Amino acid sequence: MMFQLDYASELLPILLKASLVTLAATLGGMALALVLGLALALLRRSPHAVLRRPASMFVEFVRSTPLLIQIFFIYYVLPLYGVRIPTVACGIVALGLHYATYTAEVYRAGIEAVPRGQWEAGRALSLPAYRIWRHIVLPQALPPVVPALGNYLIAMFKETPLLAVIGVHELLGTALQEASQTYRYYEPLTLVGLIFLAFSLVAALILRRVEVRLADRS
Amino acid sequence: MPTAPDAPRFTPPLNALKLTGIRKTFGGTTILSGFSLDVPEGQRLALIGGSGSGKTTVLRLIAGLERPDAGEIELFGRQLPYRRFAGRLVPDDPPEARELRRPIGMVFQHFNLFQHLTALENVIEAPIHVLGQPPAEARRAALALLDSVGLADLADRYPRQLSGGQQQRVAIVRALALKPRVLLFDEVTASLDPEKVAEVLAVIRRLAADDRVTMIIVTHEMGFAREVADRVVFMQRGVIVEDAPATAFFAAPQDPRSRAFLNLAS
Repeated sequence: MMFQLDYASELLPILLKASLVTLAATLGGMALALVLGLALALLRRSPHAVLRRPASMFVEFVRSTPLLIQIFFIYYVLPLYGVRIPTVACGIVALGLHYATYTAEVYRAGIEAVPRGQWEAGRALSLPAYRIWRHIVLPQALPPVVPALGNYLIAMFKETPLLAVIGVHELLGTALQEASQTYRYYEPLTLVGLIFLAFSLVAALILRRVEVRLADRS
Repeated sequence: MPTAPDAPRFTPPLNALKLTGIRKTFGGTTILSGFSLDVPEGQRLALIGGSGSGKTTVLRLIAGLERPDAGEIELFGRQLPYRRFAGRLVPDDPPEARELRRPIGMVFQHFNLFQHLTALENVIEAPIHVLGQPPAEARRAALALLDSVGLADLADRYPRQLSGGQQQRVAIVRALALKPRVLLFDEVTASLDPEKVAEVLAVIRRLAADDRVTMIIVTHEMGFAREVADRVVFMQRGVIVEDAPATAFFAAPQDPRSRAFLNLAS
C-alpha cells in the first residue's frame, strides 16, 4: 500500500487547522506551568511550614503519577465537583499542573544560584522582602533558566497528543478521527509526525536564538 | 505626674548600640555565649580578632542578617524586634521592624552589589523604595555621592565592569545613600587586590573624619584600625579579651593574647 499524495493533500488543511488546537493547548499549558511553577517554587521556600509542606507534597504527588491519569482525572472527576470547563481547558489545566512541578524545579535551581550576598545586601538596605524577590533575586534568577524552561515547552508540546484520549481535537485526535472514516492511517499519522517535526524545529531554532541573546547580555 | 516643659531632664549618654547577653550557635558550634557590648554614638570601634573569633557574627547580628539564640540588641535605646516562632527567634519583618533597623548600614567583604543593576541603580534602589525619594532627587544625590568617591564617570557601568576597589566604593556609597547613623564594615578590604586597598580605606578615612556616624569596623588592617578607630575590641572564641582606647591598645596591649595577635598581624 503506497502513500497516497492526493489523500494527504486533502488531509493537510484539516490537520493544519487541528494544529492550532495543539498550539493553543501548548501555549495555554505553558503559561499555566510558568506561573504556577513559580508560585510553587516560592511557596517551597516559604518560612512557614503550612505553605511549604502542601506545595512540596503537591509536587511529589504530581511528579509520581502519570500525566495520562491526571488528564483522565481532571476530565472525569472535576465535573463531579461542579467544575464544568471545556475539554480543551481540561487539557490545558492537566498539562499546566503537570509541567508546573517541573518548572518549579527549574525556578528553584535559578533562585538558588543567586548568591546569598544579594539577599543580604537587600536586607541590609531595609528593602521589603517582596521588593528583594521581585527586583533583586528574580531578575537574576530567571534569565539563566530560560533555556531549561524552553526545553520543557517543547517537551510539553510533544505530549499534547495525550489529550486525544479525552476527545480534544488536536493533531492526533483529528488524524485518528479522519482515519477511522477511511481506514487509512499511513497518511494522517505521517502528516502528524511531520507537522510535529516542523513545529519542534522552529521552536528549537527560536530557543537557540534566545539562548544566544541571553548569553550576549551577561 | 506631668513634667514641666522646661524642667531639666536627665538624659543618659546615648548608646548607638547595646548588645546584652547575646548567644549564637551555628549547628552545634557556639560562636557567642553571652556577648555584651555598648557602643556610644559617634564612636569608631575596631573589632579585631582571628578568624572564628565571632567578630563578623557580631556585625551580622546587628545588621539583622542573623538572629540571636538569646539576648537583646538595642539600637538608640530601642530593642530590635524578634518574634518567637515555633520556639525560635526569627527576625520580625513587618514595616515597623524594618524601619527600626533602617539607621544601620552595612558594607560587605564581597561588595554584594546587585549584579543586574548599574552602579547608579544600585545606589538609588533603597532611597527610592525605602525612603520614598522621588527618582530624580535620588539620582541627583546618588551622583553627588558617586562623585565624592571619584566614580561619577562610572555611574552607568555594571558591577562586572568595575574593579574590586571601584565596586567596594560603590557599595559604600550605596550604604551612605540611606543616611545611616551606624555603619558596619565587614572586612571590606579583605577580598581586594593589595593596590586597591588604599582607595577604599581613603574613602572610609574621610567618612570617619567628617561625619558623626557611628562605625564598627571589622578588619585585619591593623594600621588602618590604629589610624581610624578610637576604641579597639579584641575578640577570641566569641569572648572579648581586651577592650581599650585605640591608642592605648596599640601602644601597650594588656592581655598576652592581644600581644600575640598584634605580633602576628603586624
